[in-house]
Amino acid sequence: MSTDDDLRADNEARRLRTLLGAPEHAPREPLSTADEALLARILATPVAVPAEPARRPWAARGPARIAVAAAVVLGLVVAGISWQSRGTGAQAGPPPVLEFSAGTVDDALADTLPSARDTLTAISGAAAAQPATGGSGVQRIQSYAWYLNFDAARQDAELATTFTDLRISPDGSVVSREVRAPALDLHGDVIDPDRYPLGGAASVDRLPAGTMDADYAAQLPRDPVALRDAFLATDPQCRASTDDEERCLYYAITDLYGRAVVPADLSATVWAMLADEPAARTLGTTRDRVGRTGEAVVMHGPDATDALRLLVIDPATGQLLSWELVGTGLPGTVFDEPTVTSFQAITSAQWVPER
Amino acid sequence: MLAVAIRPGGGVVLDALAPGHAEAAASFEALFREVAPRVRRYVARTVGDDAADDVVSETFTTAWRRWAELPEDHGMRRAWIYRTAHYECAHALRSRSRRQHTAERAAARRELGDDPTDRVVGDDRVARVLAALPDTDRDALELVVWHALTPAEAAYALGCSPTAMRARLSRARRRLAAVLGEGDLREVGS
Repeated sequence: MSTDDDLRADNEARRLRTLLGAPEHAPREPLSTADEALLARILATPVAVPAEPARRPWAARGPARIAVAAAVVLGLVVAGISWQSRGTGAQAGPPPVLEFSAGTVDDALADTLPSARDTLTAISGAAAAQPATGGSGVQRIQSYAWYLNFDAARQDAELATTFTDLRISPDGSVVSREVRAPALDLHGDVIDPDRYPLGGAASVDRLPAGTMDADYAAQLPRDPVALRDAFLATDPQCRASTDDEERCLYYAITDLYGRAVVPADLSATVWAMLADEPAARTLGTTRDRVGRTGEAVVMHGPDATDALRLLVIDPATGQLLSWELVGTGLPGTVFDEPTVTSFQAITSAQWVPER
Repeated sequence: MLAVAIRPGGGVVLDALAPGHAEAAASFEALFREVAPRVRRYVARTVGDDAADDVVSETFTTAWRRWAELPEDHGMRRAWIYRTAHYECAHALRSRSRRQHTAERAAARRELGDDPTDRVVGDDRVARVLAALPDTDRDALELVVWHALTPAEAAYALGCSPTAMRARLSRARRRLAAVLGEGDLREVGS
């Protein structure tokens, strides 16, 4: 809308207020008893505190929407580990590190693993050989994840088992349902049968049209170099260094599979692109958290909190089965051993009819 | 006190969680106290008093859960709340028959006797005009006149283009003026 249109709209609003005798600024009204109770109830629950240096607009167009949508898919997952507990030798209960056929996480941390180029090239080829199938309707992505929530203020750690059912309609509206199990403590014991992690036992977020780009996967380039550029264009920080590029590429991939039904030709492009990344190393085959066999690829980053970024890929179809992060510590502390800080297994990604 | 925030698609970042939480809580409470009464009224007009509790609760719970994603601009934050409320209302109404919807909207209007809106539109002629407006026009008028949203914010809240918002406001104003004339209407609110 042009400035002239803005002025005309503002003028219409002003004339209407004058016509109806409404004040320019609505007076503040006291809260009702019901709303006071609602406010207290809401503030009693944890919140996802903004942690990024710069916010991104909620309904931003273009690349910035990628980051926004990622938050819609999974929300802001506050995860962490009580380093005090670990430092005192407590037996924490995060998921054990996966076992791999061709190496260990220690090998990955030592950068002694071979390149994943051949593995990823083969996966790309397998994906490219898949029959081309289109889709229409609603994209439904279901996943099983396990997060560690840490409330620094209360020194309170909990493990959160989370099932997510995400539906993205063609108009970009979103329904995200999450079901969570009662929180576990760091020993793997139920803290309290009535205590649920951030978000409660179940939550449903319904977000209006335009919230997400339902055509995101369809519109991504099918050329590896162009796809890499598109992923890195999501945030200016992605071009700051090689480490930043690798980080952005990893999270762009996990974001993509977490919020879209990814067609085989795009999967072929994704893995062809990653095959050219020197940081991508192979760990051989593994079984993910839900028992599926896949090829494990790892990227070693400079930060302790997500020192190892893992991908488990179906070698037959090129679909991402799972991702998980392994940390070696937090600022001010070092873990006794590499620790899985979170994972997500994508259990289903399919087109379903609109309701 | 540090925590790790893992955001797929956005990388891993560190933050001082406790101070951030307190700041977020204060900002949320301020916004809630500012807009909740009017949001409740808007919701009640749309879905009725009985369903308003659930819709208002879901609206603000969603806002809190997604606080990090709300726009920074204050006006757009308010618009985000109305946008979510509008969407939650639509969801609530989809499960009802049109007859129920109509009856409940009418009932809601009758029940809101202490609504400042009603004091402004106490003239039966105005009330009839407003009642005859299409829902889209009525919602547009309501947000900019009684909820003090700018037309741009109201457009965002209702999910329409700014141009469509201007058209709705213009249409509503012309209908009001045609029935009563601007002079008569000005006296209603005085």
